[in-house]
Amino acid sequence: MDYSGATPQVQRLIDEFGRLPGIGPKSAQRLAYYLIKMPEEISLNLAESILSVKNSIVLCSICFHITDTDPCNLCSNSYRDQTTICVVQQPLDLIALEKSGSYKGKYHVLHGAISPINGIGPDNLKIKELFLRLKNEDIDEVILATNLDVEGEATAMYINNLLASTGIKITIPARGLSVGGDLQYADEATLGRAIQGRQGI
Amino acid sequence: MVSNKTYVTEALILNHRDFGETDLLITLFTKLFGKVPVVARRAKMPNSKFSSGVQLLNRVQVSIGRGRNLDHMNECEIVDSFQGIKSDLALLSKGLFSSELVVNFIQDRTPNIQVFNALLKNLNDLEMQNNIEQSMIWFQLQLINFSGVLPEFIVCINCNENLQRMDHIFFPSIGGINCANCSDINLKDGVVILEESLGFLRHIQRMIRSSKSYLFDKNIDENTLKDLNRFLRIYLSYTAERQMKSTKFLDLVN
Repeated sequence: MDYSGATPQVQRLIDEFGRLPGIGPKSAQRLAYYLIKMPEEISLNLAESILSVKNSIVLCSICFHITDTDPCNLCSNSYRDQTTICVVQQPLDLIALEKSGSYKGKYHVLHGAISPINGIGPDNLKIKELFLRLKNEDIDEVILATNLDVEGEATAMYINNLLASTGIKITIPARGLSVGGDLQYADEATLGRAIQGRQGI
Repeated sequence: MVSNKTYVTEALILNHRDFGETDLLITLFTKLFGKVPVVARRAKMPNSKFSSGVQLLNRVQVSIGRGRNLDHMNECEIVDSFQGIKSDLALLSKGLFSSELVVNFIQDRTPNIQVFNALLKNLNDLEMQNNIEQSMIWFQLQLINFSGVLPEFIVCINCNENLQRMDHIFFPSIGGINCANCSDINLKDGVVILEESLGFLRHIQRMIRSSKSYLFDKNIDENTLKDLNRFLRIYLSYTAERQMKSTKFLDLVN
């Protein structure tokens, strides 16, 4: 893309910002010029932190979460429930669950979901590694916390089918209405799930 | 219903992919306007009004706003979410395979109501678990027919003589079969097609030519169904000039 008036170095910086998700050409330009105006020390800190993240980050060899120590802090924490594994699609899903503060067990990150139409099958995910863990660890319950779209639910179904004979308890997070939402604005699929999964109070 | 700025139509959700941070680019197969790419803004957010409507294979009623480059979704109401298909991996793999075929065979913004109805019937058959294998073959033949690439199964492609009742070799590159007298040793892409499968395909072709509704009025044994599936997969890949991505998963769970 052509940004007239920018020097080659500034243009390169704009192009690099433009590669980031959610950053369009205008935002990339704004970020680049903001960075140029910043004190040198802050710019250096930013550059160093990007480099150090890229150099030190690895995937945990147990749960496949993004970490700087292997195994990660979650896997090496002996205070967490060692008998429950929560299976999620992406590291960001794990972070969201951790922020909720309501789950204290272990995790397993699949790094995607089965998407036949995009050619992504079980072999492209960390499903084999999950079964290896279940073989070697003493697990009582597996929570399949995949996304609530067709791909996420297909992934959960696939794992559930394979685990059916192992005797391990398999659960999914509750489906239905969101906190703070008005009933009248809920769509029929959400309402249907909520009624199916109703519980006593 | 069409206005300058918006149009309303029934549609099936064929595919979706991320588009920016929270938007999705949806491939709709609309009844009135053919295959249309549409942006569903904020569809990835949990509280989005589109999130449940734009799930794959959903049958929806949509209101679409015309854009300079891409149209955008204004409203999306579910008509049928085909939950029966989505709660069974084998059925889901078949539904997604049919959907991928439409993505590859139908051009953008070219209305094709026959293929729309064929896909809808196929999804209804899968949902009701009604002659599943036969429905898959019926749909693929409908797609081939209405895309204008139905091969010749009744006569020899070279001499126009009726083909004998026996196993034959079908050549995708010439769109038919050479009889024993016209066999061409230079053709290398031949696919064996069993006598029973050919008999069925000839029956379908006659029905098409006489403009009759060609619903399954023949019982097909399992071996013939398997052979027809194999043949159709090879022919569809040849015609689309690519392997369907969903076939790997289809084979894994069926």
